[in-house]
Amino acid sequence: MGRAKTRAVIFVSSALGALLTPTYALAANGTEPARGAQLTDILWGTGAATAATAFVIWTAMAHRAGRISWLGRLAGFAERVSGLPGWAALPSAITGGSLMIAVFGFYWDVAKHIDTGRDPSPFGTPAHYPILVGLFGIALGGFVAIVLGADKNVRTAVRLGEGWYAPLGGLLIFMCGGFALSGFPLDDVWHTLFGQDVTLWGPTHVLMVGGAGLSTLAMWVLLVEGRSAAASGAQEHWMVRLRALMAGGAFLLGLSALQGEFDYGVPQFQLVFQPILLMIAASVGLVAARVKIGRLGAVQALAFYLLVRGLLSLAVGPVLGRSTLHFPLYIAEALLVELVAWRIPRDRPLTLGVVSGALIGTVGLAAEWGWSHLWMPLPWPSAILPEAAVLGFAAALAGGVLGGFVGRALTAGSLPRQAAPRWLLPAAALVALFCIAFPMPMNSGSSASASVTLRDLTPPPNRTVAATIKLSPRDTASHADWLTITSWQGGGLVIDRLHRVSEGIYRTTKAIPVSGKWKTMLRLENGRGVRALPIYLPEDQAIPAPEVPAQASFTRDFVRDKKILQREAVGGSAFLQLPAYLLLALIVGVWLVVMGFGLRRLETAADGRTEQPLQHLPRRFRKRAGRVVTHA
Amino acid sequence: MSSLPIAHMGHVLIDLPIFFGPVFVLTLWIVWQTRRDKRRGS
Repeated sequence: MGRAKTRAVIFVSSALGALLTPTYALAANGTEPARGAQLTDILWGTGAATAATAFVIWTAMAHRAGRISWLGRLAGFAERVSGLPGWAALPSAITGGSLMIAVFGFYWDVAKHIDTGRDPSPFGTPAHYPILVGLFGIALGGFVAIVLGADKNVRTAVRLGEGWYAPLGGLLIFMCGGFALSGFPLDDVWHTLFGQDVTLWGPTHVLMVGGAGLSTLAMWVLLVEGRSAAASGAQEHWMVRLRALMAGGAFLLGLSALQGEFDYGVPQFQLVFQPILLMIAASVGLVAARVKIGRLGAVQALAFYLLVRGLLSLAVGPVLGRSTLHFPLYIAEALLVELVAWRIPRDRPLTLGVVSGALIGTVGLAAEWGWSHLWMPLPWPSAILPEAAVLGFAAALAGGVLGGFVGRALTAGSLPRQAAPRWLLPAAALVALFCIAFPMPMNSGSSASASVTLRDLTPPPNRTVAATIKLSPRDTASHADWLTITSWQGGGLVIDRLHRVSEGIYRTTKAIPVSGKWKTMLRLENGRGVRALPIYLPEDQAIPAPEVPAQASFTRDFVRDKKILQREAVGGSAFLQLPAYLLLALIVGVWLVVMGFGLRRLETAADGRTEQPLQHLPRRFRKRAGRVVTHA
Repeated sequence: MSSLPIAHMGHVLIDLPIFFGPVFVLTLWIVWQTRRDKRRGS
């Protein structure tokens, strides 16, 4: 025991020493922490992270050596109240709770940045704390599952050592949480190389948000493993059913996270992305939920999604006083999936997915179209109809198939496995990828300018104006997806969809702020041309960038939208950009492939189970099933 | 040059130990334990 303790102390000290070395070495060299970070912040943060990590490792070592019992007792308590094995019950509770904390911090932080711009100091923004705690909690949930270890007879578990089997879901959660957390330092490196990309869709931001979003699926895998390992034939605990619908809803929340810019009305990409992303999220999430949960599964998952998104919107907007967070409803899509599942049973998840996808891509798309006009900050115009109809339908169809595959993996062993041609999964993935990649290229559109006349509504220092805009050429905005004056980062968000007076002449309908820290611009998007012209931009010494004053009248040219919205982005070396993008693409690729292998392992493990009599299944399943395996 | 306020938690010197550090150490611990168990098993 003494030797083991010594080795443990050496290991922890070395690891922590390795962690601290770069920090102290650079600090000792007198390298002043640039760009706002102070030495005290570094010491404080490093100290807290070191203490937390040391405690987690000490607990893990002590638990595995049998020196402490409280972790096992905690898992036992979770097992008693949930009906799931402790190694699934406790980690999924930690992960689920952490996801809720992280998603709250995420939407709060995005709103905060939209309203007030960059942070004054690393630890000066309260919204960062829930993100920090939440993302740690996600990784911790996975780590706890690995430390607790699954039973030897859990076929999906991965053998780590003698008598030590890590639940597959635990490993996947840990991977997702780890990727999400490692996105933060990568983000800093990105900012250093290319400046700050004030968009949710920055590559490293996608890594962070995507990692957290995908951990919902990993958590679902862990719950499925736990349920499979629970006593065969035991009545399903109500908590298990509740967690299943929460996992379905969380998956839908995770799939919707990257729509954030559209939810707040400040997208920096083509508007057609919103219907495409919505269709993918709805079809993948709702089909998977219906297949896994069963009758009304899509509606139950949706109810949890709406509850959380509703509470988040209330918390971020009215309670915390930030910009309103909008969200898609998915109600029509959920009802469509239920309608299809009424005729096509869950044991044909891929057929269910294809038919649901087709309906979601048509009727569901039309319903979301209507909802966008009721509540979304940028309603979908008819200009995006052809592209949205085609790509939205394709995305929904592909999403339905992917959702069917996810559902099939999650029900492996409890339902007969529907066979599918080998090309179906890669084809669906490629179609989904194409739908996302196709609208990605953007430019500054054809050469155009605007003559702007301002009329003061409120005098300085909080000056607001009304504007009249004359576009040149006159038809510049004739097929615009959006034409707005957007003001942000000055203490709020103002999105004014301009009133058309006549061909090429528009007026504001709201008071437009043009003072202090506000950044006010005329934004126009028609297809690949995503552009803007500044109306007022403050001086920003930190970039550095001069003030763009809001004169009584001026004529300015439209430029690429990104140039104004992402003033801090410095572009960086093109030589460095390609390897940087490739590295991040590689990380995302690895992460998706590992998730795919995880789901595949669920299926193959179920295939290896002993065949059982069919009597416990409903008659319709017995007819179709050539062979049926147990475990609910 | 004046300091540039930051968008997320902060500078790489803060984010590396805070975010990546624990992931790195915990992963290392799992790998170390796995190898130790395998050695003992063999």
